[in-house]
Amino acid sequence: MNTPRPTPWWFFACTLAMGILLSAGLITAWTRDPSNRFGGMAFAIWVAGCTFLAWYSRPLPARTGVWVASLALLVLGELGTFQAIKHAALALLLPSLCRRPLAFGCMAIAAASWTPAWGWVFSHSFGTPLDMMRPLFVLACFAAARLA
Amino acid sequence: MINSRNLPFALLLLAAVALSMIWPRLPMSGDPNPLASIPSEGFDLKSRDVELSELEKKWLGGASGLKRIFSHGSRLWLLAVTDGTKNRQSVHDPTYCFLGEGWKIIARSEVPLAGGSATLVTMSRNAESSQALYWFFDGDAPFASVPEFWIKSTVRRLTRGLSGPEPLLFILRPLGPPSDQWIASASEAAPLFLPSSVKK
Repeated sequence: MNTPRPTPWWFFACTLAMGILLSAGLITAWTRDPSNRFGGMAFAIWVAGCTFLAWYSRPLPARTGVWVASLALLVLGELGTFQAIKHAALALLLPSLCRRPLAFGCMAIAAASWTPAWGWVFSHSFGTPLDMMRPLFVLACFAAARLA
Repeated sequence: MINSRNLPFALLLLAAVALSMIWPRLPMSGDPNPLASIPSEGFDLKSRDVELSELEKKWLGGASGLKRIFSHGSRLWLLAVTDGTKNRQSVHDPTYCFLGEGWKIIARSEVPLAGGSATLVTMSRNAESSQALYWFFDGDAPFASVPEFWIKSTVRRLTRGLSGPEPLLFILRPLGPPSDQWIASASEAAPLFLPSSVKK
């Protein structure tokens, strides 16, 4: 009988560290770019929300497929110097610790709130920056994830 | 910690780190100084270069930039061109810069330009109003789409320049208050600003 494959948590941790390191430019975007106001706040709420949901998901699910996909996106974003791809990797990585697939989906979608790319798409389409809609969107997604 | 069962994960991580470190250091094919091929004069068009300010150099962060005042007949324009080959992040939607200068964007529309298209931005600041025209150019036809720039510049880096030249960002602004005809005359003169081999 085969023994279950041990979860490579170190792989998750290393990919997350790489994602944070390669997305460091986010701080500049949130602090200097007027169209990204409240992005930092949305990110803080998002991290807190993901951590909270992960805490109640113990034992944590091992979504190794998502982790590998995130690593691939990070590499693609780094080689192509395209920040939005790296942000997408981070957006998948942290919510992957939520056990329920719907909660995972809600928090991955919520990540759009702190990404400069989504801010650009929104302000370009509607002529107004997202501003307070960013943290409000994360809170709405978090509420949906809790109900999921 | 690492055994035969999770060795593939270790190898994946190692490959990811190695690729991320080596790939950007590989040589990139293409013109190393595309700004040099931008004509400084043409039919009824004269220009003089303007030195970049320290703040502009700081914002370019290693990228190459050019600022040139063009006179075409009785009209004066300021042309700014950015080549993001050495720092792709320095090339972005120019409306960010306008907002940073305190302008409020009133309208944004796409206008035809030299066989392609450009974006016309109308803006106001206190009682002042201004317009700017911007486009990207990679040797084919000018294009206005920022996502198209993202895709082209990303694919170019992924292929180390084999997919084509780096799209340059052109921003053209009238010096003084914009007249009703400036867009028409700018569209007429724009091919003269483009590198000579690809005039349309």
